[in-house]
Amino acid sequence: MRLPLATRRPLLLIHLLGGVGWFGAVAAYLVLAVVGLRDVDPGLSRASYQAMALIAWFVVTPLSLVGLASGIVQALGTPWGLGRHWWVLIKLVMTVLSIAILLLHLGPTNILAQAASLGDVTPALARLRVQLVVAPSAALLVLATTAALGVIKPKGLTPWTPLQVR
Amino acid sequence: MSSEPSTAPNGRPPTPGWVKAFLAVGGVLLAVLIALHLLGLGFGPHMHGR
Repeated sequence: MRLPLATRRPLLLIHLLGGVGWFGAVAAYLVLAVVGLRDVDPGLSRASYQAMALIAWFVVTPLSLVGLASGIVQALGTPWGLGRHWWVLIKLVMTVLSIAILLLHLGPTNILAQAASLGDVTPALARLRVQLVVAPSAALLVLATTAALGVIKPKGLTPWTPLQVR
Repeated sequence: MSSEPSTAPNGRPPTPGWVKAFLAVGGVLLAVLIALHLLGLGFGPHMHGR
């Protein structure tokens, strides 16, 4: 299947917005997590944890899924393919793993948000609070790497690329 | 100019160096994370701490 240019361009725009938006939302999430962890102002800290849950559910998760879906459609609708080029395949695997880890962190984010709403961000949650700083930091690194792969498009065909495509 | 052959003896294209390096670094990082997780020293959603 090869998508016409009139379809590919808006799809590329959606893909870019999804990826860049995902990166920006994770950066905002990280700032709030650091503010919450520092706990200089308990009121601000509690508000940060509540805002983090909103950002995670209503910005980060939807944008990540938009980025993944638009990327898959683009790959399948262009000569790049999903498994022909190493950079596409690695980008896909990294994105899927990132989304899986993101979904696993929605629960802990909810726990902190609920604790914050009850005014109960106890020292017992310290490890969780550190975790929610480490995870988005790693996510930013991964997202920057996937973005770089998409821009650089390093050469290299996978062994299972059909002979007529090489 | 690269002296790397375009196909390996088995007829498949050789895996590019950047892919090998990428997988090696990524594999080590992933292994460290999994090891920390299994040892209970790292970070994971199970660590709610309460």
